[in-house]
Amino acid sequence: MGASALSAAVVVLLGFAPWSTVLPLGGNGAVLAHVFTLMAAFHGAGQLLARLTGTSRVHPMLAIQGGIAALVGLSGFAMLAHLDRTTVQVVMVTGFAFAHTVVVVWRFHEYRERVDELMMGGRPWLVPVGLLALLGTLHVLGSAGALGARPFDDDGNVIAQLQRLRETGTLGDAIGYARGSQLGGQLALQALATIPGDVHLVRALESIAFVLALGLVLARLRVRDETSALWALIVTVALAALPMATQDPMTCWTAVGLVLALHIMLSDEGRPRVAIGVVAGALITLRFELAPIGVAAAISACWPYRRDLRRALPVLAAVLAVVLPYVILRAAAWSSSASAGHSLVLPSSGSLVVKAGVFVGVLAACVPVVLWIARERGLRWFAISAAFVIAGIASELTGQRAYGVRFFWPLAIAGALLLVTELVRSRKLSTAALLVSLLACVVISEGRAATGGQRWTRRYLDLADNIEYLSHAGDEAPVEEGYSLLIGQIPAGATVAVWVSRPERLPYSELRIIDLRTPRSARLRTHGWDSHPSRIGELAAAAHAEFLLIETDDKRFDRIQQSYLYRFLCTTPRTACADDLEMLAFGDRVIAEHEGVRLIRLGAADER
Amino acid sequence: MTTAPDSPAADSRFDGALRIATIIVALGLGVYGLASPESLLRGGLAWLAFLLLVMSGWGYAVVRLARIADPDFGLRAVWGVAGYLGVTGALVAAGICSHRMILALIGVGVVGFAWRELTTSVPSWHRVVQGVRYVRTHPSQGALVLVLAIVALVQVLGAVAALDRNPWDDDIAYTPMIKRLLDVGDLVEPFSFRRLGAYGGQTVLGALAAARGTIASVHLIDRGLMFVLSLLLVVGYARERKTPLLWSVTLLTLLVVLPDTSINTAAHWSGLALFITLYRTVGRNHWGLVGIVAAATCTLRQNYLPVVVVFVGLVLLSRLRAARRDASWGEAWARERRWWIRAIAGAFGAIACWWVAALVSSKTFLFPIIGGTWNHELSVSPLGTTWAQKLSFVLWSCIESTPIIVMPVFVIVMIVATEDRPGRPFKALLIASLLGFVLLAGSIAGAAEPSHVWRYAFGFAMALSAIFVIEIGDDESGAIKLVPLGRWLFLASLVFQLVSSRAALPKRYAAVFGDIREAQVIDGHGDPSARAETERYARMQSAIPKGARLAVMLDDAANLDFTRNSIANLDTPGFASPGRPLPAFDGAEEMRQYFVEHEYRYLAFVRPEHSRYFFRREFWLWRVFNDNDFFQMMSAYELATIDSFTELATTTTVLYDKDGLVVLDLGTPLKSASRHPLAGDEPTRRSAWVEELATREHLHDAWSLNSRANVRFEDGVAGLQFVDAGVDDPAWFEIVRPRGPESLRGTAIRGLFRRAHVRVRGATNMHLVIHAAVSRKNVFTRPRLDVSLDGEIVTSAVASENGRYVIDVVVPGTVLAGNWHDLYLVFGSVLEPDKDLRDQRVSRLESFAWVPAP
Repeated sequence: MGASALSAAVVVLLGFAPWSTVLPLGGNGAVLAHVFTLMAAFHGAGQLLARLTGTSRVHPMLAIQGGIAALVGLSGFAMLAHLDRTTVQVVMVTGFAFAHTVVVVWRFHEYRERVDELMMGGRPWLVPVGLLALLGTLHVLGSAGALGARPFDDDGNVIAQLQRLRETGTLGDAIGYARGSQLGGQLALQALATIPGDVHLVRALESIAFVLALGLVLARLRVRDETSALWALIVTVALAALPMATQDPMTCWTAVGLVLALHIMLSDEGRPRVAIGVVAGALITLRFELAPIGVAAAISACWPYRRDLRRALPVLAAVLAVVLPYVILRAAAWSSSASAGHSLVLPSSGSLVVKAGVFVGVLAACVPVVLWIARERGLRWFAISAAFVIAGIASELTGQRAYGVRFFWPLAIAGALLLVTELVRSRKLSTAALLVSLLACVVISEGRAATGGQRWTRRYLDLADNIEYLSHAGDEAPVEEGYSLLIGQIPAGATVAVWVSRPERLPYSELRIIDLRTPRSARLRTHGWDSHPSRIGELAAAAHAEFLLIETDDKRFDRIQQSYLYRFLCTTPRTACADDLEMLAFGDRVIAEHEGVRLIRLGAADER
Repeated sequence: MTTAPDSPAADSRFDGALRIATIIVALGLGVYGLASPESLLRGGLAWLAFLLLVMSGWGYAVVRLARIADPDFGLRAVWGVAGYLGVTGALVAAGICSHRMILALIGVGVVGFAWRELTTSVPSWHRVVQGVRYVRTHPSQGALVLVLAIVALVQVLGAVAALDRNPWDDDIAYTPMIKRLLDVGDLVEPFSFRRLGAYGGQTVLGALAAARGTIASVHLIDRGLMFVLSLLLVVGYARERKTPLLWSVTLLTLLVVLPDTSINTAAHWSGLALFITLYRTVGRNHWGLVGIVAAATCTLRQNYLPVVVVFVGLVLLSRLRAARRDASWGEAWARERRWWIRAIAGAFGAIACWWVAALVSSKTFLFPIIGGTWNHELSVSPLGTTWAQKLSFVLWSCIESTPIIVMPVFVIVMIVATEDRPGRPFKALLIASLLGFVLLAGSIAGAAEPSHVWRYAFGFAMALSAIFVIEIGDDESGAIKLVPLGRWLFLASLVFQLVSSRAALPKRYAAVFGDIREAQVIDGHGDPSARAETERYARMQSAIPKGARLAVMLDDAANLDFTRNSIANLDTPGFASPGRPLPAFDGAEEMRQYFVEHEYRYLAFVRPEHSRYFFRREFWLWRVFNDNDFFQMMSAYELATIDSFTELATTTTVLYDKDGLVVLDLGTPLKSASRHPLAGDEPTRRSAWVEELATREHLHDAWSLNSRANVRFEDGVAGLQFVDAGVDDPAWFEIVRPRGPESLRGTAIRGLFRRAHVRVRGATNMHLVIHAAVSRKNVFTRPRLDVSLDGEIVTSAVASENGRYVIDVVVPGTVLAGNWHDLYLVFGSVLEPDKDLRDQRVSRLESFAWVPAP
């Protein structure tokens, strides 16, 4: 086969690979096929976005990041219209995958030229790209089969909210998913990743984002010679070895990819204003902690037009177009429950003056580093925004510090990758390049030497085990149906507050379900000897809950172990020994009970 | 005698005298070593130095026969090693490679050495003078080299002085094989698992050390002779490539302080030396010699075979491809054909006799592709290992590299390096090594730890690293081109490796000096404990008629006299045996009949309560429930054989029974021993036997929690533990220990993670009964347990009030279809919203029954 025929075959394969989803595949095959489709959809959406903004030629990896942002924006509108159900998500993904195929066919020669260009020369890109493909497959399949990972972020049970989104097409739980630190963009993307199976595939998104972010870096490095190939390999291996094991379904690589895309769009000539606005908006919807980067990118894009604001308008309009639906959606959800509930589940609010003081102080402390980094013109916007991110997290202006510090990871990773791309593109072997490469080696060594779940080996062994699970269990987790026996006794449309360990098994389309079992509300579940109002009860009341579904647990043993007095007085369960949640069960009428789960009619005691 | 005009001896009047003096010194060293076998340290050191010169002499013979240029000392000596191995293959196959023959071969080396000393333009004393001159003219660099030499010498002293042997391998197999070779001149061991896995090159090298009259210096060859030769090869190659001192010294330091990952006397440094030599020989285009060195390398360890074949093959192919550029394929082949023929002829000539020797002994020359005497019903990899498990083991091995912990960075840099010389030998070695490593790791997945993979791969992995250091240091010839960033990364990684090696050094040198002190104390008297053991074994052997065939299962068969009896060593019973597999699980009578059938009338074994290490029953009993599948399988054979032999000692004539050493006359049974007719293939019979054993030992629950013929516990299931059944569900502040003075047997449990994976198989309806319990006082919840088979829910259960799960279902045979099926036990989330769970173990498995349903 000649080189030209080979490149043509590659382009055809790229164009039609997304349609492998029509094949009768299951388990790993189905997930992989869907990953191709999703990537194609991102690419198709990105190319359409570029077309809208008048950019004719955009690198596929950059287009993909634009597509991710565009899909975040579209999902926002769909949620606003209560339409973002699985069927609509399938239509969206399939539609944009079709757009991808059309674009590939339409620009067949252009893509073939790109592939031809790659095929020529010594092919130094082959090993890094091959390694990325191998690692990407491992990561994507491994994380898709990660059933045991933590379902909670700081706002609530993400898996349950995904199920809600898949069934109802929107997010409407102001208690169970208050979105105190985010707008829900990440969840909208996660829903797209779970299309081929059930909500347990949620973690696949971050792995897809890992591959795409790293792919963008490799594309940016332009692996044409040994030095760039070495950088590409070192970066890939270092990121694989990075001793970071995120148990949470939090955003990391999605944000990294968007930050990299922003940087590339801002540093390239022609600055696609609408695309920058869309990507910046998407970043803002992911997490409040990372929002300063999106804002800084938008400002940076507008800066050249500061004397002609009309030309800056597309940026601002694009940001708002992405962010506003999520803001409205959150406000609508909040309006459905009493404000008393919000104060209980939102991040703690301290003195604004103190927060502002800390913010300014940290910002001032960051100034020397910012000035040092800002000497590199291309990194100036990022250095400034990073300082704002750090100050925001430290002062708790953008979210709770305890959880927010986790977002230093995507910030640091994005910063390191930006630095590497700038160093490689400069084609000089500077001291900084030597230091950064050394740092990459240290990261590899640290990953190898780390202990517990962060150990490089441990993470990869877990991935392999997960792949095996996925191959045997299929793309839908084989778990027992759920709570149907009790739910059947609740009238349709009723509001039910739930405290159950598997809220993703509840029928969100039939009932108005409020999830009480979230990290913030769990802290309200306390026991006191004095007579005090149950704050969990207050939450349920704020949500206007008529029923309560509680799954029995053994928290009593925790209290027994914590307190001698409790151990002495509460060997047998009694009212005084109940905590704020258990008290609700004592106070109201239990309608039904099955295998440790109780259905309670709230307010029934008063009726009696 | 000729003298090079620019050599130190050009104007020396004493040249001839010094050459003769060198030969006399060499002979003196040999005579001293030979005359003082009891002197471990001085005699051993003299013998080591002598062997170095002998190998150099062998190398010179090779040089002259091949009519090629005389290289540096290291390369010449290892060519000598290859030549020696090539010749001894024929002698082993003929069964005449005994002590006298080895001494004769050493004599050949001495003659070769003398020949060179008398005829070369650069005799050894010139090198000494050049060395002294170098130190004088470059005092700082000379001092550095001297320090390194002293550190290396300490290592060598430690190797000569070390008496410790690995009881798993050296005591039961490797040392007895050396003794056998010296006594009878062959390596016919049909019952030996170790013999199956190696052609015997390392044994023949080991015999060089033992030829002076003692088998005590077991580390003299690999950690002594071959270590020194590896360093000399590196120095010689660095000089040849004009590698800057920075790179050379860093590499030598790395080699000298490298953590010792060899656990026995099998090929380690010898592998490194032979691989470097093979590479250097390829670089010199001596293709006939390449074949001989390649064959010699393969005789050391069978896992070197694919690396050697791929390496040499790729170089030849690359040359052919290069020749094709300016000619047709036919012309290119005509031009290159002779090199192929020479390489293949050299390799075949050198290895063919080893194949014959292996065929005679183990009925195979290509284990494990051709099984030979290997028990065909056994598998090194656990039964039903999946591709995902193999993949995870390969990944694990790639990441956890030892002793070079920075190997991932090394490989990255090596991949990026470019090479445009004919044959591209470095890239070929890189590809061959990567392929060999993956094959090796894939083949022993589940049976070993990554450290063992790296131990087996030490030879080629270290050779690859050492060659790379030397070649990238060589800026002038530009054999390998590497971008400055790559050089920087590689150098930084080397330094990082050196720094990380420092932590283990104090302990290591404390051990080395401990060995040296002990050797000093016993020097001239020999090892007293070894002497006592030899006498003990001799007394036992005297109970057996002279010339009779004898099967042995002893701690240290090297103490036997192999000339007195025809001896077969059962180093790992059940793994290898002539004819049908050893009937380990069919009862003692079957075992007796098997040996009699194969004309082994006499059996010597060590009683388990007296065994020093390997044949202790309690040890295997623990292991059968507490190790990976491979060692559980090995434990079953060990236990069955130990029990059978113990029983035979009560049913046959006991000729000797003292200090735990027993000799039985299997031909004169006093009564019939037990028979244990079990149906099915060997894995099934083994599984049934282990179940009965567990019942006898009151460990049936523990057995039910172990992998067996139709059940395999995979990921998500922790190791076996025994807990106090008196404390049912302990809180963190409760003490878990027996309350009374009476001895309690613990309750067997295995921790279950949130998702536990078990593989099962069955042909009929199968009854699945699982007893598990959740520790409510630790996880504060009672999660639902979903049990699924191949992705379909089988049953689901909620923990009872006291945290118990009982699964009792019948799985229809229609869904099982005989193959392995995946059973997953998945607990509902135990993760609390406001805190992370530290211990991922959710529950405990108390018993697992999977039996045909009535």
